[in-house]
Amino acid sequence: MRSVIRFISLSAAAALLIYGLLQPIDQESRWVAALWLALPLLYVAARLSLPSVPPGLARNTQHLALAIAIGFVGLALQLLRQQFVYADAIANAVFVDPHTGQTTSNVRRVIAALKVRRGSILDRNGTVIVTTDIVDGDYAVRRYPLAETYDPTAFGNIVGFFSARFGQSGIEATYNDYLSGERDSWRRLQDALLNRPRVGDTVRLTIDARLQAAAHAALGERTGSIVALDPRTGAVLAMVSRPGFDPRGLAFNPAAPDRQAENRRIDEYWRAINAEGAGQPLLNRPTQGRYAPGSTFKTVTAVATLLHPEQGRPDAIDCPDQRPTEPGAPPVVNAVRTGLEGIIRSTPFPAEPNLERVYAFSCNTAFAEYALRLGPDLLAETARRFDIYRPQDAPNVYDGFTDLPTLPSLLYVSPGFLNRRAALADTGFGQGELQITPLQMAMVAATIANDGMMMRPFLVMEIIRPDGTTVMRNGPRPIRRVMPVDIAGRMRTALRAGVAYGFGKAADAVPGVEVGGKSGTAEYPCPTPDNPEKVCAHAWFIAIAPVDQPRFAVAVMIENGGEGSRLGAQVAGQVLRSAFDMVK
Amino acid sequence: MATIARLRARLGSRTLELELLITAFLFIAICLAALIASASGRVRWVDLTIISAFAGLFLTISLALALRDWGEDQMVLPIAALLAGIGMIMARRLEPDLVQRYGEVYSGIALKQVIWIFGGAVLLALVSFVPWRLQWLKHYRYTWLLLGLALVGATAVFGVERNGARLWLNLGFFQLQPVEMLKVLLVIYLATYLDDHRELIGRGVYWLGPLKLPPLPYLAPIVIMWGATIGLIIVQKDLGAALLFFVIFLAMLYVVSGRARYAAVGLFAFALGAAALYPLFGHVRVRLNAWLDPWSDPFGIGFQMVRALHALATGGWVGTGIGAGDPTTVPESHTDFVFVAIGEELGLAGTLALTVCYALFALNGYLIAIRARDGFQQLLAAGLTTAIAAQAFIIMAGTTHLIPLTGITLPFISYGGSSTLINFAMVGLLLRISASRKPPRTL
Repeated sequence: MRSVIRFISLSAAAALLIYGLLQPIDQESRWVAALWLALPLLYVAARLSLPSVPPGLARNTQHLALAIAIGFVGLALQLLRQQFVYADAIANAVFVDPHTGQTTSNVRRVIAALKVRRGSILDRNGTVIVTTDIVDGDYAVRRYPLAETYDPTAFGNIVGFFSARFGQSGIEATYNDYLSGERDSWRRLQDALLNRPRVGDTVRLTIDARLQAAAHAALGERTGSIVALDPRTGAVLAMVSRPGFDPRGLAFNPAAPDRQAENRRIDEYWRAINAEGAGQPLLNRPTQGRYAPGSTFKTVTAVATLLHPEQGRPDAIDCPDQRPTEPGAPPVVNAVRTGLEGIIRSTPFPAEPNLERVYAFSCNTAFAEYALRLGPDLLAETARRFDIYRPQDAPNVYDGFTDLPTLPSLLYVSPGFLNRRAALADTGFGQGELQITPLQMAMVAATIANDGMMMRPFLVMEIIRPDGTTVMRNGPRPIRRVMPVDIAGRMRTALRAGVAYGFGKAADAVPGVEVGGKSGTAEYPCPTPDNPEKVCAHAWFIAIAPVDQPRFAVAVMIENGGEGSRLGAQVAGQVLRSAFDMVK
Repeated sequence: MATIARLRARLGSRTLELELLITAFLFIAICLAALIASASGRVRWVDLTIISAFAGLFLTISLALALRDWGEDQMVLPIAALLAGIGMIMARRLEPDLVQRYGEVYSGIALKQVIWIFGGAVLLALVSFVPWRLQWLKHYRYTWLLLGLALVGATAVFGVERNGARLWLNLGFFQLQPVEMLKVLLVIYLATYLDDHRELIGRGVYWLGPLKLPPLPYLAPIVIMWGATIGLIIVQKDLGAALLFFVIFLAMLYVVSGRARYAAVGLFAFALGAAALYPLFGHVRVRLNAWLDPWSDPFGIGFQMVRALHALATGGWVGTGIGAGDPTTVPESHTDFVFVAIGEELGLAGTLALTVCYALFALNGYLIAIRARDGFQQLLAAGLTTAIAAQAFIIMAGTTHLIPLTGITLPFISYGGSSTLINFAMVGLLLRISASRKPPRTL
């Protein structure tokens, strides 16, 4: 009888304890209840195992001792749960107050984060963009020494912000493991054992701080993007996103005289840059902004006709003022409403229209015709070579560039869109449903500049340990050959024509250097109360220079910037001039 | 020659205590070394002096006990020394962090704690070596009762208020916490009272309608104790002491009567009383809500608990290492929450070791009680052991979220003069009770 009761109590206690231990940390009351139910059962089981003692003070004392011992067993079980089974979960848990939204987390992590000596971020020449200073004994604060020379807002989208409360963005986020020193588990173990502060790795970027600042200035106060690549390697030389944010605004200084005021300052800046109408400064437009590319996309259509001359017949083309596509749809028209063919036939000298001339003068009706000749499959196939995806093939993030969050570029959005002739024609000259990132257009230009070989863009040149040794170094890596060398050569000639005598003359701003380029004006409806039919335009420009042996490929995209041949070309020209000034 | 042989035999009969003491000193020395290594790496003379004096003091007591050869228990002294040593190390470790985070009030606590421990050891030696008779405790029972009542009264009138509770008596050089004193007086008085009335078991049962009531000599103190503890909660707002006193009382009542029913009814009545106070008294409500769901108000009532849970979890199973954690993020880390501070820096290994230490202390104490020569000494030993074990359990379980948190000190380890002195005096009493070969005139 005793053994049966003992067995039952032990099993029930074990079942209760297992049930309790399986409860997650937010159900701790269940665990405590299960534990308190199990302890009397344990007491019963243990008491039945005791040798029998005659009644009296001794026996009563024995029972009391057993009760106290069972209490300590309960304490040990509680400690086992708090310090072993769910230790990591409790230490890392962040509790959010459902009413106020205020969060509670382990204060040690916040303090530890304030003490990590994050590595610096340098530009390609070693100019320090971000570094860590030690203040107030052992607290680390993120400093931006470059702010003395340049506007730090120009670098916000690339290096990102670092905040104990709001997290990180940009390179601070992508390379957090390296910058915080977390990646190197052996060194972390040494630091932990010797109680040394953790020191992170230094990240050296491919951008040139001077070009980045110049490009940022060239865009003025306009919203938009600039990407400058070295076409030979894929290195990103500049990547501007406007409006930007100042990472200093979110950098907490633990040595501030009034920490609450410091937190308030950061709160206010965070609210300001996330406010409605602030223009989303935290969005990195060059990689996360997708737009209709306008006529710059004619570059892709032109490559498609050259790759498939039998279907595309690149040099048997005309440029009528209107080209009907399918019944019921409005015909394709040119930006210059009438007489564009006349200009094409006469400039720079009288000749029949060919690919180079319709490209240089951005003739919509000609490129609509090319697209119709090629058909949806050949056009999509060429676009895919440039990593411009059909929606069903598109990955969630573009894996050709992983240093910053990047969206894939899309040839169209609605399923089966290109099967309609009008849609196919529109896509051919850069309207339709195209959704392309400025980075992708820069890559299109860079591929042509690099003899048809598309290089993988990269932003991080190398990562260096605190002791000076290299963790990792990036170099040129090809994605694929998009077109043969001769076709790339023809495309460079066509790009040069656009600047030499076509609609991109404004980009010819570098003395002694032949610039090639293509403008784009991407129209989109922007109805206002007065004018529901109003149409606005994004200004685009892609450029390469020097045309015979390109060293720079640039894409400029200005939201609501009007005609690409004016503002876009001007800005691209300025960026190229700064780039060449820099090399000299 | 014969004398030397006898001395050698006496020393040889007490080697367990010596071995355990040396083990404890080694552990404390390693803790101190780790602390010095992580803090600055500079060894200070004062540290070496203190730890040598600490070891010397306890070794002297042990040797003196061996030479006197009364055959005292050999476990309680080393455990008390180990726990006090850990407390000494923790005060030394927490002082700079406390000063940095909460201000100059805390400077000097490490040295003060050393003085309390040394004072406690001296008190233990006095209780043990000064010739006096344990029967005095029984004879002067009403003196103890009056002294206890006087202490409560004096605290209520002249007490110093701290953290909203009036628990301290200012003696100029020293702030006495009468509750600690009261604890011992209560145990002594209950031991004499219950010993006098133990013959009444089973006699004089009263009937209240269908309810069978215990005999009046039991019923009356149950009701009085219940009223006194509830009064303590209301007047002094001292939940921890109230719970501890009531547990001590019920445990001793059980030891004398063997009726689990009395203890169960008593606990139920206490819970009922606390439940009745719940809507009336804010501090009861706060403690209970903070236990039920500390996350509901992590910046208010749950603040300490949330911080404590984070500290314990950060420690994990081996801890951050002594000096490498941040235990002062939990308020009162040197007194009520010292167990959490140890949990953070020594991990589950450290907290389990402490739990085992207290459990061993308790089991040994009850063994002393079982072996004691008369009912009074049995009850006294059981009461003293319960006082220390229950106090350790209440605060350790409170800070680990097992029961509602009530603020009392962790015996031997927490910073505090009154509690350290009284706990060592209690160990002295236990040692005296456990002496199996004491001469009859000291009974």
